[in-house]
This record gives sequence, structure tokens and C-alpha cells, in this order.
Amino acid sequence: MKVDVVVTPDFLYSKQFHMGKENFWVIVDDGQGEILHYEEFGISTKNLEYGKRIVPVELSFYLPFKGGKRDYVMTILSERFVGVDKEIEIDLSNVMVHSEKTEYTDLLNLRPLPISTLHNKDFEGLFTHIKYFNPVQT
Amino acid sequence: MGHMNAIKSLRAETDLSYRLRLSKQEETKLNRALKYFPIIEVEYTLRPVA
Repeated sequence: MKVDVVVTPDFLYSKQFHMGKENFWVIVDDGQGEILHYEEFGISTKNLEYGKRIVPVELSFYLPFKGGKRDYVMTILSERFVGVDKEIEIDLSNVMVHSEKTEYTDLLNLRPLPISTLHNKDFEGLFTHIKYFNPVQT
Repeated sequence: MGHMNAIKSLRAETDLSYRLRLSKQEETKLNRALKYFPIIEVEYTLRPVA
């Protein structure tokens, strides 16, 4: 499953408080403590001076997903600032995956039909080597 | 959620000096600090891949 994340900074730059690049971590776990993905990214503070256009940071990563109803939790936290963390529940309820099981239909208990049930001499001519259809053909 | 929601609501407050009993000078300092606090907005999209 591919996750595209857009992080938009909502603060102004001050050289008194910020570095040239403010680093953050994104950590995704399965809600039961197992970390599925983590990476570091930086928000360049040179675009955060007053009046400048804010440039969002875009991240893309892949997560394993085998179905089930568990929700993943994505946490984004600052490397330097205490209390700058955001926890987001990734809703997986609408994600459908193909089952690994092979789907099949049980055969019905039918009597094999003779070739003559086709009622067409040309078609029957295609099956001269057999007298009855097999269970699937029947 | 850390302090982000608290900072957001303080940013939205129009009269901090009255609410927090601050002098105008202290209010200016606090307003500046609130703008510098690194709040982030996060959006995500999911795409199943084979």
C-alpha cells in the first residue's frame, strides 16, 4: 500500500529558535507496537519567513498490508521541539485486498450428459472421440 | 497531540492580554513566540498497489 503524505508547515522562521532545516520523524506502527516504517524529513525554514509562499513537504512510502480490520497509526514528531507531535490514525476500513485463497465452486452431483444433447450435428462432430461430457462441461 | 492544539487556540485568541492578564509588551512577546512554534498540518492519501 502506497502512502502519500503532505506536511504543511504553519509557523514563521526565527533564527533565534530554528535551524536552517527543522527535522521531523514520521513513524508508522500497526497499532500494537510493531513499527512498519520510519523516516526522517526536513522542513527548510528559508521559505518560512514572513510573507513568503509556504512550500509543503511531500513524502511517499510503502506499507505492508494483508487485509484485516486493524488501523495503522502514523506519528509525526519534531526532532528538537517538545510537544510537536501529531498522531494520525490511518483508516484501512475501505482498503480491499484480493484473498490469497483460490475461489472455486463445488461440482454439482449431475449425471454426465451425452454429446447428443447439443442437438446439432456440426457441433457433435467436434466431440467424436467422447460419448459424454465431463462434469464441468455438463 | 502534544501542544499543537493548545498553541492553535492561543493563536486564534484575539485578546490574549485580557485572557491571560498580560501587559501589552508581554502579549507581543507571546504572540511572536506562538507564530514561531512549529505547527504542522498533515494530510495523507492511500493507494493500494499490487
